[in-house]
Amino acid sequence: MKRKYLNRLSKLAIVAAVISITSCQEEGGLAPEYMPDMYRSPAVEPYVDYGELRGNYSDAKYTDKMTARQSVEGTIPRGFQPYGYENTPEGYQLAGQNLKNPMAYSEDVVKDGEELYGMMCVHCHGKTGQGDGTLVERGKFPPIPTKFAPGLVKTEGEMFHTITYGKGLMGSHASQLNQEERWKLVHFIRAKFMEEVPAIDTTAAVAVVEEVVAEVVEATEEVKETEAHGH
Amino acid sequence: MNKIINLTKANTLIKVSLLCLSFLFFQFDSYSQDTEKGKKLFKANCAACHNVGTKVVVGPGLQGVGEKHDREWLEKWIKNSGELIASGDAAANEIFNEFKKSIMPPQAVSTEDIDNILAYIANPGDGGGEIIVDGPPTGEVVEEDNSVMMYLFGGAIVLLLILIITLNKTGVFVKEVIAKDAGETYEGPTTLYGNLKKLMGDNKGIVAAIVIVLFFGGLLNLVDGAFQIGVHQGYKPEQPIKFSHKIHAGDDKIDCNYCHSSARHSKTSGIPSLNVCMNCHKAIDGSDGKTFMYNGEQYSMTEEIQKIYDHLDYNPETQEYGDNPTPVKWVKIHNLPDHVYFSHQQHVVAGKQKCQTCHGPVEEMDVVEQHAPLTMKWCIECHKETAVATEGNGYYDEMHDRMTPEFKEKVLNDGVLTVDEIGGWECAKCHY
Repeated sequence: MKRKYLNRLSKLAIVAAVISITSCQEEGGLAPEYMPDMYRSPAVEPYVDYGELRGNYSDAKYTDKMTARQSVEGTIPRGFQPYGYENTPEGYQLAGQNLKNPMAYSEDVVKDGEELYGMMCVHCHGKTGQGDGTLVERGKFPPIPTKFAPGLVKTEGEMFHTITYGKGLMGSHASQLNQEERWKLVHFIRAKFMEEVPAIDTTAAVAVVEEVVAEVVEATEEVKETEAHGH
Repeated sequence: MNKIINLTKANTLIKVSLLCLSFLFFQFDSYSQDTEKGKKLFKANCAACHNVGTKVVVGPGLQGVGEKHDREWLEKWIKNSGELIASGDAAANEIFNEFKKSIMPPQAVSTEDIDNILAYIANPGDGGGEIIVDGPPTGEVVEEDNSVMMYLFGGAIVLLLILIITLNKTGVFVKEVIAKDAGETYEGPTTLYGNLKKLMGDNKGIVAAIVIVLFFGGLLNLVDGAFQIGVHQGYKPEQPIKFSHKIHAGDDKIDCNYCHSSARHSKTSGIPSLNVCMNCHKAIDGSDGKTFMYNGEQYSMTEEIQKIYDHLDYNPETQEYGDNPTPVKWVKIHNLPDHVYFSHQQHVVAGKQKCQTCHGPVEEMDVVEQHAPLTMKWCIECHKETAVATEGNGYYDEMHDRMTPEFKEKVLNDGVLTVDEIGGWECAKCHY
């Protein structure tokens, strides 16, 4: 009886040893998962392999399904303004003539623009805007013909158009920068490199200041009144 | 009449010979031009759109342009191509139409500069532009075969088994012979199993010790292993296109946000769509035959970049896109459990965290691997230590104003406002 029990135990130990050896995490591989349905979302998550969902590990119908989809034709993101100029030399010209930066110029906008420039432009156009980015310096990308400098004849509209559609070797950056960000960049590049700082519209600021002053005056008068009543 | 014909003939002769002479002089002249200067000028003014070979970049490749058009025409074109096109020049209009009606911007170069540039184009030497190298890239890609090791190991085990069985048989045989010699019959176990049983029966103490060590060792291993369940730290799958983050983010210093642009706007950092690749790889097609390292192996740039073109159904010769693009099946590395909400936007924009905080030194990895364990303990610990980026964020000014004095005293007595102090440890912050 005891012998039989020991026998079973040794067999169990061998099975356990085999399992523990085979279930070790492969170098650089995935770790074992317990209850993957708690881990792998059955709902549509971005970049999820549908094949990893419950029970569908080897079904090509699921593993080949694409999660990143194009939106339905005609979909417009929130806050998006349709851009009416075509990606043609004529469109470039028209945008250059008619398109103005709708974003009011301010220090904050330029600061945001600088941050964006560091992310999106600097590796080609360079820190100084002279086309001395790392990609050009390392000889990987052809030199940049446009050098942002005072006196460069480029309108706001042309710059926006170029970021939107690309020009020459520069590709379209519309998928990486929304319209607001593109205008911020235009402000930054013009202010920092081209020394074209638009005159800040002071009338609005003056109005705000006047309003605040009026409020303060009103408040102090109220306080005075209550104090007077209190006494 | 004859005279006139003769005269015109002579005239033509003179004209032709003059033309030949001028051509000769021009040729001679062009070689006397400074190709070095021309190279510099070309790089600065032309290389963004033109190649000295035959490759189309934005405009046509300029190989043999000096023979194709005459010098005067070229100067007109370079200085103001729009005017030349408008004048109805046939050659100019042909080029204009071929290249999608985009005008080459007028170049501010002198006549001498043009001579130098043309001299350089005619004779670019070995340092000129991209030289297309045909044939396979240098360095054979040798695939490392792991199965050989496995076969060797298996073979060794089989050999050992055979050895044990033979040894056992010989042992039994020897014992039988000894017993025979002594005039007895051998009564011990004859099979391997029997012999093992006898051995274990004779050494019960040692067997018990081994069993105990194995049992507790196994238990420890099991508990350790249980903590590794679902923790994919170090997961390092090879991607379908051998994209090296070390080259792009490390050497070329392209900001993470350039490709992962949605990290600032959405829950996910976003796998860039191929149009983002094409912003650079339209120009960088790897035709210089360079190779790069990925996961310890050498790969050809041409082949890997060609994969982008294939997926996009793009023809680099004509620079046109077909209508049958296919998605790339990138392998997702970082995966948070279904029951956790994590937003990149919140961490990158409001939290001002560097990508490397969680993803590790990606700019040093050719194959990206999961750097952090991505466990709840790891999240919680970071939330306990990290100070909130309150500077310049008006939201926090207002929040500070609304705090009761006691609470403000409590959370700000150490001078820092950590994430857990503003609710970063609340269950519902991440689990809902």
